[in-house]
Amino acid sequence: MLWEKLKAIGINIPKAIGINIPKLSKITGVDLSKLSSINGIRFSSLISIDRSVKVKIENSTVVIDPQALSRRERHEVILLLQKHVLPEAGAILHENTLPTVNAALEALPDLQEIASKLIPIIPPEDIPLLYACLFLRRKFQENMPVDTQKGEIVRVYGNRGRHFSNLCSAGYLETWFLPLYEELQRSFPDDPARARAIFRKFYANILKDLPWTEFVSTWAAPKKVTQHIVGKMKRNIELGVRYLNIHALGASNVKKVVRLLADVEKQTGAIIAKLDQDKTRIFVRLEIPPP
Amino acid sequence: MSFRITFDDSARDFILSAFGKTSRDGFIVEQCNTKQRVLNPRGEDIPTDEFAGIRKGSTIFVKSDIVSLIEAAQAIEAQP
Repeated sequence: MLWEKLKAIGINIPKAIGINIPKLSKITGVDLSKLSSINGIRFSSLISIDRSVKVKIENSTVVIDPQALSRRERHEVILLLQKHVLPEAGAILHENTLPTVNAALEALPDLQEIASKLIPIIPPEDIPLLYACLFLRRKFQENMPVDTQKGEIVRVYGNRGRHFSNLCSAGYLETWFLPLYEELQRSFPDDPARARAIFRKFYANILKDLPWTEFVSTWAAPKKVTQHIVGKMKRNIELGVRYLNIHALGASNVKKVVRLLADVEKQTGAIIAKLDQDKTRIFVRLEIPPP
Repeated sequence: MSFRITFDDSARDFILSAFGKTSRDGFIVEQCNTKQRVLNPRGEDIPTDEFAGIRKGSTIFVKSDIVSLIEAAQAIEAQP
């Protein structure tokens, strides 16, 4: 349909490059008799001695040079973009974004299962945050770098974004948030609105302060981390919460946590209830025995 | 892979102008009122070097951060 519209305004792809279809197909390896095999259009400057070249095929992409179009053609292409291209394609994107957008498109179906459980219960403004963090977790699990994109999440959502991302990567969406909501549903079987309201209160508090978890930053000094953990545990005891989970990634961070545990135990009376570590990651669950 | 419509830096101004926008003093602005910056759905202005494109839904201008790009991917995914 798009090709027909382009043709109707004088942008006939084979004619525009002045080569007959079979020859072009041979040169480009693209069977232009079946234009459906073309998988994209890119708007870009075409450097050419022949200034009449306004459209060409690169691999499976039709490249259109807007500067080479006549005024009328430009106007018609703009109308096409507004009325047909954007509505039919869903988005017009800078080519540099394609690796990320394509990776997201590949990941989205797998993210739906967990996302669909959380979307009805988290604040609507956090839904894009949820998808971004699930996407990052998937990349992290595939040993791909995530620091830049995590920084983008923090830039958009601040500390809440950092906390959500950490909680998501550590599996708390499945092991804590959803079980909490299910428990609330069981407690208030006739009042789902109340269950959700209570959940949202917990959720907001957890994202703000991470009261029962500490994600140890690479840049944090050991003394500061110790103070932070001890402070959290003392506040938690006042609220009846007698545990805290510590997560750290990276060899130096693992060593940092191992070294500060004795001090934390001494200051809080906590014991190590669970310790799971290797060279690059550590998880410690500290619990304070009942008096 | 579904159909992709893309542009590069050389065609950025054309894409912006096609939707009534332009770049001024490092930000995307309205073509008809260059003092008025274009905002994304989160209410943030869009530095020209962070302009990542346009997505469907009342013509939404996209920044290049991961949150915005996943929303753009969802707009593409929603196409029949």
